[in-house]
Amino acid sequence: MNAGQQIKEKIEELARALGRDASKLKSDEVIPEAGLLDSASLMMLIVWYEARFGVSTDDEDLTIDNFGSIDRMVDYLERHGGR
Amino acid sequence: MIHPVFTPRINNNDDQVRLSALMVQPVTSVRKGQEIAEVETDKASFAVAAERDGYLLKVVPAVGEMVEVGSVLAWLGDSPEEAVPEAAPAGPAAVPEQAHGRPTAKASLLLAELGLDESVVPVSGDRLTVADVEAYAACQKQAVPAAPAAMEEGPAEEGSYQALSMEERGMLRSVLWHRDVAAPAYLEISYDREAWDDYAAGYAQQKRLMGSPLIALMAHRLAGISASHARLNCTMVNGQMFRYAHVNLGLTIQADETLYLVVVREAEKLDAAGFIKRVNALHKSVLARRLGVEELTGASVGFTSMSRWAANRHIPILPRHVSLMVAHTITKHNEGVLGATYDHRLLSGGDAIQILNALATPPAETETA
Repeated sequence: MNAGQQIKEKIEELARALGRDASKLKSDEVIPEAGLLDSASLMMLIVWYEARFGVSTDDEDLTIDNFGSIDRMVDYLERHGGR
Repeated sequence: MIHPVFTPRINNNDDQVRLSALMVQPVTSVRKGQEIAEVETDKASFAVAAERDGYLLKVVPAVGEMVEVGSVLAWLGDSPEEAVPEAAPAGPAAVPEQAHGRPTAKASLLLAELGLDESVVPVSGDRLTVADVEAYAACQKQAVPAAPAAMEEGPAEEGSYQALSMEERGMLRSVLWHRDVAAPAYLEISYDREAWDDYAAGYAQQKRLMGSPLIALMAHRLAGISASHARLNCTMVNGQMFRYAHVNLGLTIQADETLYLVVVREAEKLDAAGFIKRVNALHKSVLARRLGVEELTGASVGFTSMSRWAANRHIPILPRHVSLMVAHTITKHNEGVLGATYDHRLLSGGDAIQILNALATPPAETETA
């Protein structure tokens, strides 16, 4: 499973915990605007992402431009040498 | 120089105690009075504090292991490089230095009931006893309630006891302070969500944030209100009002089944961006379970939100020495609610309403720049 699929799966899991269905989320869709995850879930996603892919994110990097969609999260990995 | 920390006696009848938790891992710097470990018997638990500034070099038993009273529990050193002796020195026979002057379990209960700090009560013998507390309370003309209840008997049914986690013990301590010491009262108001939602959305757009900063911005607003209020950033101790030098804003963060009250220290010095950055860092630490003692203690005022669960109302307990805890929620009917549990010894209902009304409105636009 590639990184994008793993991220999608994690988002679906976090959304399910809130009683929401993220199965139709597209990889270029802006995650916060989709209304599937709240702030706490987004933070859980970031912490999981750091641990899963071995990257450390600065607070300044936690923007919609870097993590706003699955595609952008995959791009960030490629730019920061995630495993 | 290296110093032993001896295992204290908790009950007269127990010559062994169990090391139930470590608050600090070796090798870490510690301050005098900082709790480093907790030991327990079947009847009571006892927090072991560092007797001096230094470094916790080694803890002798493993967590969960039984230890002889008076044996070396841990080693403190003046520097992190000091070697720990192989042979343990003989501990004091009856009352370890660590426990000298410390309250007995029953005395601790009475201290909590009377809202007294153990450090102000003179000790007549090796340990601070119920008689010492009663004598002090009588001198202070404080009413002494009936003697603490005897140890509660468990249910006469088949079952087993489970040790509490460190977080569960912390919650228990808070609940008991709320019940036994504070004079908690609660009230709430509805607030106009539009102004706050627009403010938070504008802020998020300006900073390109991932999530809504609404809760953090409201908590930051509370910190600002606390800094300028006469009695909000205070607590009552022994009939005297203690005014905190800084606003230490406690904010609840949930991780799995556990609710943490993380503390943004000196919050009055932070602008909104700095405050959110600090909250994010604490949130990540909670999820990674790597919080330090300073990040979990010392709150002077608190904020909690149940909007995630769309609760209609929740009445929070007051954490120890917190004068007011704001309870925010957004109901299923999209109504914004701001409630507050407050310590009536410090704040009147009118004070609490004024504070909530001030919090109901976001700060002027210029404050976000």
